[in-house]
Amino acid sequence: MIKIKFEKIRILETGNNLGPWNMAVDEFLLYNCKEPILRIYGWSKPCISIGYFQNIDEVDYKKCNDMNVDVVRRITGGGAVFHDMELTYSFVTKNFPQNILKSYEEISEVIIQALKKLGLDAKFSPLNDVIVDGKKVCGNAQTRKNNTLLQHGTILLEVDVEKMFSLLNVPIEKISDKKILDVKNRVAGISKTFDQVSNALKSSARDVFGCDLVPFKLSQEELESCQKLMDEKFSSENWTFRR
Amino acid sequence: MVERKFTKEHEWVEKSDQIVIVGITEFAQDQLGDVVSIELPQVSSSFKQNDVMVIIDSVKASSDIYCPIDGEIIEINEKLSEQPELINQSPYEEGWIVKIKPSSPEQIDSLLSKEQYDELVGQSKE
Repeated sequence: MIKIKFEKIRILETGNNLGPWNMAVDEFLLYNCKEPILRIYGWSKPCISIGYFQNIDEVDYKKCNDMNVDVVRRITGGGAVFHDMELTYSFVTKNFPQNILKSYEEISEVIIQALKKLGLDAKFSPLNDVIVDGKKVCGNAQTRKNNTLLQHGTILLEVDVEKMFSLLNVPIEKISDKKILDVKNRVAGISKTFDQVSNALKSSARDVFGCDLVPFKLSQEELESCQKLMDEKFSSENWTFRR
Repeated sequence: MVERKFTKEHEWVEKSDQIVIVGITEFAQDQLGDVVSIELPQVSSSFKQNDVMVIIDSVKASSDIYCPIDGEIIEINEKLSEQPELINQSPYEEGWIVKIKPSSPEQIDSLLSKEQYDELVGQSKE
C-alpha cells in the first residue's frame, strides 16, 4: 500500500511548548521545507486549537482564560481540538500523493505501525482518523500550500471529555450527559507515555518509509523566524479572532 | 464555444471580452471532496500570477488557490460564501470563483490547453 518512500527524514523534537509557539513552528516548517520533516511535540499548557475557517464563538474564550487554557487558530481546517495529555506530530513534505485520502492513509500508516509496536490494534478510519478498538485515538488535519503538504495530528494519551466540553460553546441542549457519554465511547487515550509513543513513531517512520532518520535542531536564525511568526501571527488577536 | 485554459494547480480560466473567469476543475473538486468553506479575496485587490488568491477548505484538507494571471479582482462569486458546495456541484458554471481584469492578458496563452491538462490529470491519477 505504501507508495511514498524517502531517503531520509529529518526529525525535529521540540518538547512541550505553548500553543502559539507550536503553531508558529509548524507554519515555519511548511514554508521552509526542503526535505521531509517529522516533528514531535507536546503542550506545556492546555490549549484549544481552532480550525482556520472556524468561528471563535465556538470556543468559550472567557472560560478558557479563567481555566488557564490557551486558544490558538491553526493554519489547517477542521474543528476545535483540546490539546492536553497528548503527543502531537507534524509531517511536512514536498513529495506526496495528490490524492488527499491516499496521502492521509500513507502518512497515517506511520502512526498505525507505531501504535502496533506498543501492542495496540490500530486501524485507519477514513477520512483522517486512527482508531483502536473502535475508538478514535488520533485525529489529523492537512493543508497544502507552497507545493508542500503539512499534516499534523494528535495522538491522545489521556482524555478529559468533561473539561473539553466545558470549554466549547456547544448549545446547552447538546451537552447532555448522553452526549458526553457518546464522545467518551468514541474517543480514547492510549494510556502510554509521551516517550513511548515518540520512540515508537520514530522507529515506525524508519520502517514505513524505508529511510534514515536525521535528528536536527532549529538554528538561532530559524528560532527567531518562529518567534516573529508567533508574536505577529499566532499570538495576535487579529489572527485568533479573525472569524 | 469558449475556450478554457488550465493551470497545473488545477484551476480553469475562461476569457470573455476583457475579463477572465477563474474556477477549479472537476478533477480538483473531486480530489478535495466536499468543500465546506472558502475565503475569497476582496474586490479590487490585485494579484500577481501564482500569488495565493483564495483558500478553500474541504472535509479532507485546506488548500491554496493561486492566481493564474496578473490582474485585479473585479467580482467574486458571493454565492460561495453561503453555498460553497456549488464548487462540487458545478465547478465550471455556478461554482466559478472570481472574475479578474488581467494586466498582462498574454499570460493566458501560456496556460495549459485542455489536452495538456487532461494529460497532466491522467498522470496524477497514477
